[in-house]
Amino acid sequence: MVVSFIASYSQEEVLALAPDASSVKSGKELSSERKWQNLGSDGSAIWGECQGSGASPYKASIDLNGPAFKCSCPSRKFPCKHGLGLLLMAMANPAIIKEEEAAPEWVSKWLDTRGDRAAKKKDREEKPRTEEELVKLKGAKDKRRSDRFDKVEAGVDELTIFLSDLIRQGTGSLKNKPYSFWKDRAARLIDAQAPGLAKRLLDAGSGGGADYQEKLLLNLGQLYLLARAFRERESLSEELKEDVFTEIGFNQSQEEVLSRAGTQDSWAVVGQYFTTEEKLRIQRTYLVGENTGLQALVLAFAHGTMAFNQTLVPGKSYEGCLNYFPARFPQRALIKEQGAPKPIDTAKLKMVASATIGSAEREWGRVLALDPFAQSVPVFFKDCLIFHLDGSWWLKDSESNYYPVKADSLDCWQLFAFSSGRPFTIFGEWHVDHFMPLSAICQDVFLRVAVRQTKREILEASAV
Amino acid sequence: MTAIADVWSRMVQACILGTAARDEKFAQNADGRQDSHLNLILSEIEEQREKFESKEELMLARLAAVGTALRALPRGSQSEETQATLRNYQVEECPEEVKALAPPAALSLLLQLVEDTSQAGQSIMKEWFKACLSHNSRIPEYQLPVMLERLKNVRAIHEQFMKCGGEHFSWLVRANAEWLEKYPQNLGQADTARLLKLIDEGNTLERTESFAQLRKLKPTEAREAILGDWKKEAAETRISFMQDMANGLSNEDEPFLQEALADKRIEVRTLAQRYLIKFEQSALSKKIEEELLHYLKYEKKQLIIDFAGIAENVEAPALGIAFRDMQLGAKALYVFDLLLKRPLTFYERSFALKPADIMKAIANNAEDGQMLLRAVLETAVIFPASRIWQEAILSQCGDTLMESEGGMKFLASLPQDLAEPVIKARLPVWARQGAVGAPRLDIWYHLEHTTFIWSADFTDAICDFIIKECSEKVPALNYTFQQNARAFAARMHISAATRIPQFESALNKSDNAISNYFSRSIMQIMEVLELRRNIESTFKQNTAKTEDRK
Repeated sequence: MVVSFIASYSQEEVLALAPDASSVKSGKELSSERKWQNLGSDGSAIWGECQGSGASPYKASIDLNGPAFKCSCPSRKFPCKHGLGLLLMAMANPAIIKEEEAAPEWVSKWLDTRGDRAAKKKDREEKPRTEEELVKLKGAKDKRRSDRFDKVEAGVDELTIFLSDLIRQGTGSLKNKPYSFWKDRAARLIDAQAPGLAKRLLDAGSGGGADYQEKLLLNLGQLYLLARAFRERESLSEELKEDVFTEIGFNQSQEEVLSRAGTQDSWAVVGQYFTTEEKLRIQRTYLVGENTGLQALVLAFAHGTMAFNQTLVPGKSYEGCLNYFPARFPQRALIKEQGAPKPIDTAKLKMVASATIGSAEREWGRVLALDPFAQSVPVFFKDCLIFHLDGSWWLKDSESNYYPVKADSLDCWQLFAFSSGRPFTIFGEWHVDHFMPLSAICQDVFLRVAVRQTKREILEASAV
Repeated sequence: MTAIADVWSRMVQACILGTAARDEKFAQNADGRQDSHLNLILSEIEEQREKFESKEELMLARLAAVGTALRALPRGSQSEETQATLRNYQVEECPEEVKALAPPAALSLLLQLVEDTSQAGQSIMKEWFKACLSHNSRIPEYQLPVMLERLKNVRAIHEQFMKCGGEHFSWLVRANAEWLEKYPQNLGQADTARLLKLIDEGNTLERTESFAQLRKLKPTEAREAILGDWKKEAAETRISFMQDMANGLSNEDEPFLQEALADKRIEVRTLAQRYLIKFEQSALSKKIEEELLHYLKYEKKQLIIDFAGIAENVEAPALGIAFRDMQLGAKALYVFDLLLKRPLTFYERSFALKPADIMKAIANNAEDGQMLLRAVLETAVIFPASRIWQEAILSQCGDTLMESEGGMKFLASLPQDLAEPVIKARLPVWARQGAVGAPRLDIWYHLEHTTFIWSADFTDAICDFIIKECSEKVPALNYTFQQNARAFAARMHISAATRIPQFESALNKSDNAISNYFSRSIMQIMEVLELRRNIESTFKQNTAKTEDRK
């Protein structure tokens, strides 16, 4: 198992599991054999003891089926530097891990707990419910939903009055309003259980820059559209209604989504980046079906420095089944089944990539017609160039059209170097005024763009 | 401006003022231009006016409609001027690479090494580059940007880095103005013209930076570029130009420097003087030698200074902080300053003596011998001394070098085979065969002040000492040792890696390895040695695999 794990992951991919840059550095430092003792593996897990600053060594173990990490150190990061160090060391030199018949008690206990938890979850999912239970559950759910609708409706009414007041009095002086002006109003929307509206309002008002008024009014218009759509939800189609609910902050039931038939394919992870909202970290992972060419966005959430509950490594492909959330433009999906990772098939992905700037513009228009609240759309460009001119980065497609590229400067230079100045395949997010690259393929080599900075700033800019 | 953008702009203006102040219809553009789809939508909104509770809500609905239309507009379309610029720009392709990529394990090590740009880190990185070159490998192109950025100010390793970067290195550097400035060895003919233009027309910073770059590449062209306006330049610019004259200094610069000796600013004059004395045949050098010969005499096997010949009111030169430990009068300082401006060959030429004899003649002078010795030590660094001179100095004062700043500088300038015996002599007597004695802690101080790479024998001797000290009650592994452990390990001969188990067992044998104050340093030494061993082995593994495949 250790050997097969090592064969399927690269060091870079393991480091991608680290919660932050300092963990990467510390993990590398701890990947030295000398810092570890009692190293062992039973095939499905590896473990070891690392001497830290405390009197007794920290006990770290890794379930290779995840990989999932466990460590006795007090760090709140997940995985911690010890877990990363142990895994990196095992990958660099598998011979130092002794094969043992059985894991020590502290490892087997943890593995058992993990097994129990998974079994309980499976039981819960598979156990059939009685008619009575189902009716009871549905009743409680409907009651909760109806209560929430009432609250959101009240919030939406209040928001409409607030927006109308702003438009009546003029938005000229809003740029000088303190952050608290918007935060207080957003807090009321949180109380009204409409966190999506709250976030949009906060983002709309608290920005800056020369085009503040344009951005503000664009966002206020969208907020009004959402509020109005919610009020008139009964006249909307089911899918559009779901889109509106999602934007307002209603969670769609994952169980319900997963209960439907999914899409089977070999799903290649072609892009991944992270954003942070307050203390919540969001992992956005783009998948492309190597056979169907379908694209999907999988979100994962983690608080603080906790680990994400799923491992999707860019540059890997997973045989499995995805279920899309119902929407007019289905993009977000849940993983129903996930197989073992294997290297992506670059030849197949190159076949999938066919976009030009013209086709991307048309696709963006189509998406907006379906979902006017969309922020971006994934695009797989073929035979394009990326280059730097007078301080800006540009994408040139096979039809000699140009589109601005926005990303961390080093990411762009990395892509430029990777392309060697020749046409290549590039994947990323198409935004209203720029393209954000996430990965590229050149001569059958896949390159993940590191995406060094939180893209929040860029996402905000894309509102115009 | 498109019709949609025009309507949007008018709506923004209306909203800034507020509907209380301004209310209008937007279904048709002010200048009569129309967008049929947009008009249709706006007209529809107007027709359903009664569905909106207020004119503000109506405005918000318009904002939503026009805003969405605006977002759907192709924003990629640029102005004609931008389009023309983009069309005219040709992306230069990178030439095909000849070398193979370095093996993944070696690259993974490199990424780890790049994080550490300390002296020790640089030394290990150099080893990586050396191994990469010897295996005819290169760094992958996509890792170059991060490294170029990270190492842009670590000039000591630029040359090796460049050689391992393949064709992509120069290609990338040419494409990035900042890198081009930081890695100027990659400048081509076209860039020389650009630099000349910048020296001529740029702002102060651009001019001085361009001059510095050009001076490294084409010193004559650089000098000529500033000659024309030299007298009109601001004082600060002149000083900056003069500082960069140090690069590519040659006899051709003499007339220019000679003229700069009359500059109004002392900084310019001092720098010009410092450069001119490097030329043995320069008028200034000859003048100094002539003057020195008035005061310096060889009599009764002694080198003596005749202070009587020096004017009473001679002005003592400011010699800088390096000479703070000298307590000399104005006349002595004057002579001392002159002595620092001539190479050691001056003594040989003037008195027809061999270096060893001159050193003896200095030692024989009980009165001014110390000052003369100090001058010799300093001069041996300013004008790199020949090996005969270095040996003569060492035989005279090898064991007291660390007692003066001049001595320390001299020690640092020595080649490995001369420096090692000096430092080895600092080892405790018991460390030599069959002897017993107390350890001398200043060995670490000696090592700290040198930069040479240790030979195998020397490394062995130091490792023996460290391992022995680990078992002592009060080991001679002091603060200087602890602070420099990584740097020392980086300079050790690679054969020291075979001694890692000995270090480990020495550490384990000591009472409590973790709580010992020196254990961290020993661990650092082991880590660095292991890292260095891995560098070579990761490249070798790849070679072995390639040969297997064959």
